[in-house]
Amino acid sequence: MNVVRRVALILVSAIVSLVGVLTLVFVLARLSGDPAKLMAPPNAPQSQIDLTRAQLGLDRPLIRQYGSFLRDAVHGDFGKSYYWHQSAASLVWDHLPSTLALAAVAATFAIILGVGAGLVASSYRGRLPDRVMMTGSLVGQAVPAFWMAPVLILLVSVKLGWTPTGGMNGWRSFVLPMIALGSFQLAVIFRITRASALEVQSQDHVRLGRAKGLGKGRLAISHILPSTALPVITVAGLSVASLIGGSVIVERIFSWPGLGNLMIDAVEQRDFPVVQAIAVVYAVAFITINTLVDLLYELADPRTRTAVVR
Amino acid sequence: MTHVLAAEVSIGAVPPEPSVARRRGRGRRPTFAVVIATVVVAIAVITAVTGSLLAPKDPGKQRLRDTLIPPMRSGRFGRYVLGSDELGRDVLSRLIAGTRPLLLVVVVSVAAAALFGLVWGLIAGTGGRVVPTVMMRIADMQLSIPPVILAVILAVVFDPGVRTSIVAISLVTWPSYARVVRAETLKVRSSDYVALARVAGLGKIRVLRHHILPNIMNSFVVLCTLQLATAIIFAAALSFLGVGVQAPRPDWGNMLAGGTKYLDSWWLVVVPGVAITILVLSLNVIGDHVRDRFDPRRAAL
Repeated sequence: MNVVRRVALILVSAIVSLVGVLTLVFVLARLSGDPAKLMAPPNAPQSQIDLTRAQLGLDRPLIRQYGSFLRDAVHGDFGKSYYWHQSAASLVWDHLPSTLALAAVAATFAIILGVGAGLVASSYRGRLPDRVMMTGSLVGQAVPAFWMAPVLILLVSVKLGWTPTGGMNGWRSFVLPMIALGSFQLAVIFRITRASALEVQSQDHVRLGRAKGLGKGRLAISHILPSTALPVITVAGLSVASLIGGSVIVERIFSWPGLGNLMIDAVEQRDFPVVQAIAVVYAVAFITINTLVDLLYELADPRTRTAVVR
Repeated sequence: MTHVLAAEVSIGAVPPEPSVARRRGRGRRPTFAVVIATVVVAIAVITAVTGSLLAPKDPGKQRLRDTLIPPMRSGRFGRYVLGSDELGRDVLSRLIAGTRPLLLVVVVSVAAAALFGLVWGLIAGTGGRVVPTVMMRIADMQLSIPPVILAVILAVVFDPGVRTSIVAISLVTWPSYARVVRAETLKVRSSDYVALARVAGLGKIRVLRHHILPNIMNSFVVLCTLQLATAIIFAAALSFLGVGVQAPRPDWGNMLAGGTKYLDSWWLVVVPGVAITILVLSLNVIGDHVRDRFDPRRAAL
């Protein structure tokens, strides 16, 4: 199968996933109860509820509702928030930038430190720096964000007073959420970088570089790093994707004015239009990143093609 | 068909090349760390089974004169080894009582997801052309919603609680099992002995039971072990967000959530957090060991 066709397949399957997600959200929305009842005051007469149902189009056949749900969703329209009384889409747009900013900062933190530490550890394989970092990564993977975050706040914000305890206000406010959100992915990226760098180390071109008398740093950057790029790109991509999901908890703890925090508020108010709008935004981000990783893989490494046909 | 495989390669569950040499001499026999980890998990299981019988105080009893007493200090009603919370409840007793719901959620959800994923993966791995593609697409779709988000939506649809946690975690994790089982099944299916068994006239079911299943069991068990740790963090996270185990009932996650409101009383956050970390760390250590022992090909991650 040629590359063009395979790329097309990847794109088509991304679209299929997206439609699937929308369908799931629609089904769950219908299971979550009657929105008309939720919107109406507690002792509203049945006639009023029926009127609201008609206004919302809930009296139409399910398949028609599904059709118009899909059409609206493509246009970014998820209805009006029951609680905030504005359109769910505009709420999402207001909160999206701070979530993206935090995710970008945390991803950069995790990728740069993870890849760097992985390369360093691999060149000290089995010796003290390597063992310290390996232990660190094991602990890093075991400390959940919802515990690390309050401890960081306690130590750095409350005791030392170096950073604000929450909110988004200047670069200092980014430091703690970045660490809390990024450190798990940092550990994952570190481990994969180290593992693949170790594998590459015994390959001929690296041995030649070493024989030529290249220093450790030079060897790592120009000989080892390029060959480890593929697995690292994959894992880094997936890490960034799961970072998006993890941000819900971190945003909550740091009162970050982002989507995750908004989502939990919306859940507490049982404000389904907002919940589903946010869910779709997260899913779109998730699918986009995964598709990019797939495409990158497809275009960057000819070996994956032959390996697959096997 | 081939495309789905490409997606599997990129998911990163299967590292490209095993580095067996790196592990040589390591991980064969249980190390000291593995022994400690096993003891920790055993204690957790025993605590979960006996429940609040082991607790020094009644975990639900509020003593409003003994609020926020630091660990190892005594209040009017005796000593609080791990301190007391904002309502004067004994933190140690709550920690002990909270083990059961946590482990219940974790064990049931991993079992349900693993079983469903196993069956799904086997069917998708042995079927023809169209059915497997559709099946794996469904699994992929499931993976394209971030887990926490899906769980939170589920908690809106159903009422929050132990049952919702279980449903959410199983629903979110089954595709990982399905993918690994399918990939392994495809690998085993293309081997010579399966071809031989077919030539010898064995039926599909028989080949599946006697030739394919035993050979994918190792990877499957390893995956289950590793997933236990993930499930614990997940379950605690759900309770932390208020969509899992509900408030008066103690749970490590909601204890942590309560503690974040009283940061000056550090033990309220530190105690359940350390408990989660130690348990997860132990399960990871055991999982790594089991993997090295039974499935060395996956040892790189």
